[in-house]
Amino acid sequence: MKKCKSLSRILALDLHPGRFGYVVLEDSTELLDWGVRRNYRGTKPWRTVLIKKRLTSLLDQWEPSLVLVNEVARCSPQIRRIVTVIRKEARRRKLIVKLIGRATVSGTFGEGRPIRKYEMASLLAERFPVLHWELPPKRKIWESEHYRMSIFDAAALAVSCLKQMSTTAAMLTRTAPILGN
Amino acid sequence: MHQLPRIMARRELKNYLRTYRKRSGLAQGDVSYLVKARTKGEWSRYERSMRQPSLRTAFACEEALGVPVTRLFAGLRESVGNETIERMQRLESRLKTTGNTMNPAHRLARKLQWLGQRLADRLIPHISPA
Repeated sequence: MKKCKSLSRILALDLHPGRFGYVVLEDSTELLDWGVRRNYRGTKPWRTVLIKKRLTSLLDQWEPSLVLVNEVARCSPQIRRIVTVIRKEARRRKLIVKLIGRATVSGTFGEGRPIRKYEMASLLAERFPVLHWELPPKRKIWESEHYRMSIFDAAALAVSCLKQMSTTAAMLTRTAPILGN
Repeated sequence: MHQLPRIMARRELKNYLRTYRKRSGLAQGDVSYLVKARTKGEWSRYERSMRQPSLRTAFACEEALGVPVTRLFAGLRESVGNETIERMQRLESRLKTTGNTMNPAHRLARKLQWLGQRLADRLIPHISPA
């Protein structure tokens, strides 16, 4: 039987070419840290060094056991570079990296029906009141997305993953007596 | 929304200064002024556990953030506690084997009684009444 590793903290990252939003969740309910790290400007090798520096500071401070990353269908070269940095760093620290797809996230929040990003962010702000004042105003159709939405996307990743894990655990508990017989 | 189960075992971090500072909405500069740190860089070093604040600063943090020191520095408190318990066990066994020639027997007995009591309290934690 596969042994279940106990997880204490989760770092969820919402990757974008120019920035990443992050949340750190402890005990599946407590939000420890959240924010957006951005501005990886400069020449290419230097940019990778900067990304690594920003990621390492997060990993050093929060010591997560699981890193969640959003699965991007058509990765830009910059996102691919960030993912490579994350994977390398995770391997070095023996962390689990999990990719969460968009479908999983919308399935968790929408429960079958399509859900808008802002609705999802509002639900998360209700769930984590500390995020309430981070919620940007609703985007007008001619405006670009507010950078703080990345925080909510990262939080959505963490919540989806936790729900997925709890569903799996519940299924295992239900099937355990059957398997035992 | 679904209520998520508490499925994880927890190992405390050294400190939770950043978490409670961010919850309060205060910036590093604001808190460094409140706790009388020299610069916000100094506060940042406390947050990243690169420096340990003085007892005065720790009490100021408690007052400014409204969270007990034991919670703010949960990991540090845990590690110091464990280290002290280990030392108490070592002292107890040392007193039992070699005795204490400097002190009379009743003093030694009192020391052993105290250490035994403290260790028992630590190993069997109190269950607070509901």
